[in-house]
Amino acid sequence: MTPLSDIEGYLDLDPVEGLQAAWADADLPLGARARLVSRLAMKSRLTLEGAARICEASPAEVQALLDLATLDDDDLELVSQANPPVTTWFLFAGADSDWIRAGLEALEAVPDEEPVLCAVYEAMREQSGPDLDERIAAISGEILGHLSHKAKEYGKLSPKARKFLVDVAKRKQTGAPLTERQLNWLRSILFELVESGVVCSESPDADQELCDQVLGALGM
Amino acid sequence: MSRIKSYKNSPSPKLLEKIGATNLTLADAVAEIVANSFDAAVDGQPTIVEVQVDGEEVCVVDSGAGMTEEVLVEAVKLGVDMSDIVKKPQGAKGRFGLGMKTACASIGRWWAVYTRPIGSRSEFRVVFDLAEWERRPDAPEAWTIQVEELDLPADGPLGQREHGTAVVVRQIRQRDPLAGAVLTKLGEAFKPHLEQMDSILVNGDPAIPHKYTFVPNSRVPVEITFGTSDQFRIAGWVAIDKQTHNEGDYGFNIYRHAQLVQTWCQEWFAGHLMTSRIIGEVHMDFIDATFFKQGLQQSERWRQASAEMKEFLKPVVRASRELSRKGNINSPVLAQQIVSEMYVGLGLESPRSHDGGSGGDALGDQSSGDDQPKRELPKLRVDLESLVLEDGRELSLSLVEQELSTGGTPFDFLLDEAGLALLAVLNTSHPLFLETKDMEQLRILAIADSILRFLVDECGMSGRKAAEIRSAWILTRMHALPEAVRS
Repeated sequence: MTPLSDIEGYLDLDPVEGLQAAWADADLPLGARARLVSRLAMKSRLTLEGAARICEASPAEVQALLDLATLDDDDLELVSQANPPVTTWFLFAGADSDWIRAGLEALEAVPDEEPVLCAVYEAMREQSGPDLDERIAAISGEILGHLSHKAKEYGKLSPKARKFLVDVAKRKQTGAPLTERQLNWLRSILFELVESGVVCSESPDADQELCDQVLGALGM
Repeated sequence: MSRIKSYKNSPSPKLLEKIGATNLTLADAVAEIVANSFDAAVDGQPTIVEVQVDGEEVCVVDSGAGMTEEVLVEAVKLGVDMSDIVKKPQGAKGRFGLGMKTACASIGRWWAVYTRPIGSRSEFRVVFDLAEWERRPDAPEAWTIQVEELDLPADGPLGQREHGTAVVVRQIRQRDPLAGAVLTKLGEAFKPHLEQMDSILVNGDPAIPHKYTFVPNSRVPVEITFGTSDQFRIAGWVAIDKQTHNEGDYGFNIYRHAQLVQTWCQEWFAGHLMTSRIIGEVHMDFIDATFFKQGLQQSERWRQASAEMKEFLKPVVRASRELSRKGNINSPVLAQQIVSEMYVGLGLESPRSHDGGSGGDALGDQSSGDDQPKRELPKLRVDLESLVLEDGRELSLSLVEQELSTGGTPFDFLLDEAGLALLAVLNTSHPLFLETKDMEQLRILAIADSILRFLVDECGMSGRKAAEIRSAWILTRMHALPEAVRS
């Protein structure tokens, strides 16, 4: 990783001027550029839109580079060496080390002048497994029915939310997939159940296996 | 043949004026004078410092030990290391013999020091008037000062105090000195003193250290030793604030001998909105501060200390980032899990075992076994039709849902020119996203907007033509939607 001390010239400038110069410096490695732009953007106290205007870039471009700057040094160095196209920056910025490696391998395998985003995403998805919505959607009707009953016993959730759990459990028996709105509501209900202690890691209700499945689906 | 001759090397009296031409703010300069007050503390007694700030006069009066005539004479000389003259308390802040003079000269063009040494029935006064100093010739005698001995006048700035020192500055350089800025600065700069028994009043108002609202259990001690036989020690704490600090007030306040020498140091981690929750204080008595205590000298010891802090902070930085990811900060369970992981990284006992399970307003460890909350990839849609351009090239279209800024653009796009791919970005922080119930249609609008802007901005197409292509694409997409969504 290029140490910031090597690019201190930018940091000595007025933060807005430095930001403009660092953004425009095509010779800077991606990692150093990300760290530098992040630091100068914070120092300048510009809004995202303000920083984008100064850099003559779009807010999404600036945000993507700022997000890359949040990676650990080792991960950022890997990404920096590969110098992936801007369309993949959000993906790399949100990934953990294993996913990054998988994404970079996929990146190398894509022929020149072919869009790489899809390949990188698929490789990362393979590594990361099902996402939150997919894991929630996979919770069985039996568990949801149990949670509705348990929430009633604990005096948690509104009657409407408890009924929704039962409805979803029934819907699962028919094999019909949940709509996006149903999935969003189910997610918020499950989090509420965890936060109110109905679902926990040391359940006194002889339902630990079911609780663990819910906690696992929520990524806990 | 060579010969050596000696010449007296005495600075011009005009130097006294010139040392005031620093970048010190009024608040910084007053803090410099107050630092001397704490250096003069009487063992076992609280030091009370009263500051008066107005357009005519800035006055700092303390209840310290005061100075004898001999000590006063040395104290007002330039560049005298007072530790050679008087035994100072351990951790004295004054070191270079320049701070008070520089501070006074930066505040005004006339100042006086009044002092009553402990156990004495006398008060001593010395006055500096820069107008008079400027008239002095360049000669060693020009630096002569006059000390006046007085019989404890009750109407002087020291009032009825038995001992202490007052520094009075007049002919103020700043037109409208702000007492509030001085109050804030002193609250920050002398936080360790204020948290013990000492106090500072500015125009009668007490200086109070700033308080933060941290994520429960996230405040952890910093205790690092390094160097040969662990002779250097960094001690303090670090915590994660519930708020991010886009205004820049985050990082570490560094104290040397209980005085703030560096505000909001962000050198030990990459500064970013997601890391701007990190707040900490560390005491590094071994480092060298610049003479006016407004920064650190970049010594080898400082570099070593920085390396130690960078390593130590890695789990904290990770926790700050994770807490800043979508929604985590609003979920006590997830927040607690992230904090627990930070404890593991720091090699500390989990917060739950610290607080007997109460966990503040969090709920303890809810983990199902895997300690770290699972990361999620951004929501990406890559299964969209491509757009065939007039020149026959195919533009691949994708969409990502991503937080940008609350008040900014609802849609934006990124372009991979090499692979001719367009990634529409749907801003999930925007009110349009937060209020919309039909997400699928919003996604279509986001891509349509990106297509329009791409055609106009990147291909130089007329707005009318680009809008036609956009509208046609929308219709295609609407037909691709399931019936339930369309109706």
